Amino acid sequence: MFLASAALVVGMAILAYFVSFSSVHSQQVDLANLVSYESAVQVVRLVAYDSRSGTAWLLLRRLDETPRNFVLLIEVDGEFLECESVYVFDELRDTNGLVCDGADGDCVVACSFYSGRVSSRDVFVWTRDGPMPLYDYLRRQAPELVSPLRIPHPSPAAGYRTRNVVVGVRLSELEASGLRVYLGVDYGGTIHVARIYEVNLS
Amino acid sequence: MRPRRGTSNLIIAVLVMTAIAVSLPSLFLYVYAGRVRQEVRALSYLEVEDRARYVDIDAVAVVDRDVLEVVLWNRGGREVAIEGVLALSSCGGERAMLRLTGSPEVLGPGSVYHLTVDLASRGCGVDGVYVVTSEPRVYSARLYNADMIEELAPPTGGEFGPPVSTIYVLVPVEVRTAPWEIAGVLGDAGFVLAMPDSSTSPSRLTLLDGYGALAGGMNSASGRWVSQSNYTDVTLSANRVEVRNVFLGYDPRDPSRYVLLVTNDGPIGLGIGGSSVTLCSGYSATRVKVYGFASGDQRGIVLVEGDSSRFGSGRWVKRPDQDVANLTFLNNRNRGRITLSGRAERVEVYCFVVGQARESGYAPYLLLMNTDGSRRAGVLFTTIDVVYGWSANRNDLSGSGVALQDYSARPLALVYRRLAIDNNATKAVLVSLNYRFHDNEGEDFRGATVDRPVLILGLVDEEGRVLSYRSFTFRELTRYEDTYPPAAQAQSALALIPLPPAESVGYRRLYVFIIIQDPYLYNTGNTNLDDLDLTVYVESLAVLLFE
Repeated sequence: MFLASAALVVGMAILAYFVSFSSVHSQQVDLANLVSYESAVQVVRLVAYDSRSGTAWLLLRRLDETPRNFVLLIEVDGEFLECESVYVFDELRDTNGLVCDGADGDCVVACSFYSGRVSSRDVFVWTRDGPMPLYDYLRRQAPELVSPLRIPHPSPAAGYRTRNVVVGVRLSELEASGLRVYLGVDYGGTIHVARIYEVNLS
Repeated sequence: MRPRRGTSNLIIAVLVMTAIAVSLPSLFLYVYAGRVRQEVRALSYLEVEDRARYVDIDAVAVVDRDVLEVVLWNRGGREVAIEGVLALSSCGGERAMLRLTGSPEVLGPGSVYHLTVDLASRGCGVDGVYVVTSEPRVYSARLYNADMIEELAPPTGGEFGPPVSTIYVLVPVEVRTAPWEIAGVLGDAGFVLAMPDSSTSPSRLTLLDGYGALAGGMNSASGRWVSQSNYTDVTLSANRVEVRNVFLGYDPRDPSRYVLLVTNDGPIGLGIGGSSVTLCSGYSATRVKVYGFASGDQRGIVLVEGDSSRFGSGRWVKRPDQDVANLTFLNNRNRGRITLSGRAERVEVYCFVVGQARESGYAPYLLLMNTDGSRRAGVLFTTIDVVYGWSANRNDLSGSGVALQDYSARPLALVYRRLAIDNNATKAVLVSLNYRFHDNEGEDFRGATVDRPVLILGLVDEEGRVLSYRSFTFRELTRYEDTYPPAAQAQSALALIPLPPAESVGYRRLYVFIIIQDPYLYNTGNTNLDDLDLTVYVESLAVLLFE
């Protein structure tokens, strides 16, 4: 009787462990696959850098056409930009052929989509060794808080003819040598950085 | 108290099972997750690389006062979608990015896209133009302003030199006169007949006055070819007539008509002008050349019967084959049959006369034709009359035992005089030759004891001195043909001949020459060797000058 009870308890414990382990691990697999996938399908290109106005024009593009919004962080010479420095060109509002001239409302500041801040310890950068908090990844240069940018994907259903997003980044430092774009994905409310692009401005 | 043996075994079993149960799922998930991750990464990476690799856009932007011209050229091999053209600008003192195009444009390979933008209406100047493709890639256009271009433009007076290279097509030739007037066609095309000092390694070529020498120059093993008769504008028919070989091409003046050369070791019975005629009756061999043949039979040009593995129970030939040997040795070692019906502009008949006189002209051996239906003529030269042989028996032996080997006692040497190449202005000459070759030696090079040139290409100066040449010998040519079943593969060759500079050898005017010949009769020690006959079809001969 004692042995039968002990075997039942052990069996139940193994089953509970297995269910719990499978659930946690399948989430990890899903996340790992998502990050890996996003690292390959999100692309950033530098269109032009206007050194006179200190504006870098970037192109964001998803190669898979999935209507998933962009989540990114932009770092210029060690400082992470706030959402006020980033403008998103809205081609549907453009009436004069001038990108982000402010005359026709075709330039939307990134804060209008999202303006929160998060701890750099809650943003994970995926490296070869697995996910690592941004704070640890950047080591001594790490700020406590960073401002993620959330930029909507241009939906063809809404009338967008291209699937590119043109972003103007106003650099306060005109002598900036380059910027880093941390492309990420939101998973369960946590930002995971899938790929980091280095954009040379010099 | 010691536990019983059964209890301890059970506890050990439970512990082992627990260990396995705990480790298995994690091991499985670890392996599975790693594999999936790698596959996703590899596939996506390859896709991205593949999409970007073959895109090649050349973008040029020119600002001419108040107008911006953008030219995009897709230099790659695949379609490119241009998703946008942007220009970094200054508009009314403000920095701005101009959007020059809104909707995507698809550029095919090699195509060019023009864009003109009026800058005056926007009051903008342009500092940079950027092209965004769907890959996406961003191309920065080379930006010029008109002032820069005016400075770079050549002054009037044409001081720019000649182009780097110029190509001249010598063959196929244009046929302005009747194609049976071989001398007239070649002469009109710019070729002058010449005589080399050696048929194997020419060092000098003597230009001849006219084409009279074509009346001779060919020798045969046991006799000569004589012209028996010519017919003009006649009906022509053949009903299962026995023949050995047929060479078929398009008439160079009219692709709806055809030219034929039919050979047989014996007479050929045809219906000509409504009468049955036995051509070359009593002679050992016959060659019939037909020009301007228009078939009256809806089924095709000529019905050939022979080797069933090639022609089945008989096959109507509907168009000339590019392989000029396709209708040779119709029934392998035996005679085949042809059937045709139509109208011919001209029929020439040559008969082989056995005797001590052995010299013939080139006319029976040459046919000006093409195999692509163009209105120009290549040169077909054939000495094949009957059938193939091997190294242990005689090639081209007639059924009655007459040896029909032919060879060129004097090669057909042609100098193209319409193009004088000046070593003062030209640094090198590239001669290009497209040709077909077929022979009747079943053992190919093993049937020949010596290797002799069949084709020679080169340059000769105004005084007849050969500057350089490239020869195509039998052993080289026979590698790319099959005697039976007959196949004359398409061959091409390039010969680059650098010219000696005028500073070192003086000023020289050079001309391209080509020599065509059958250099083999037979070996007097063993007549089964070197007894080959052959077919050469010069499809094209072109010259590229590097100036």
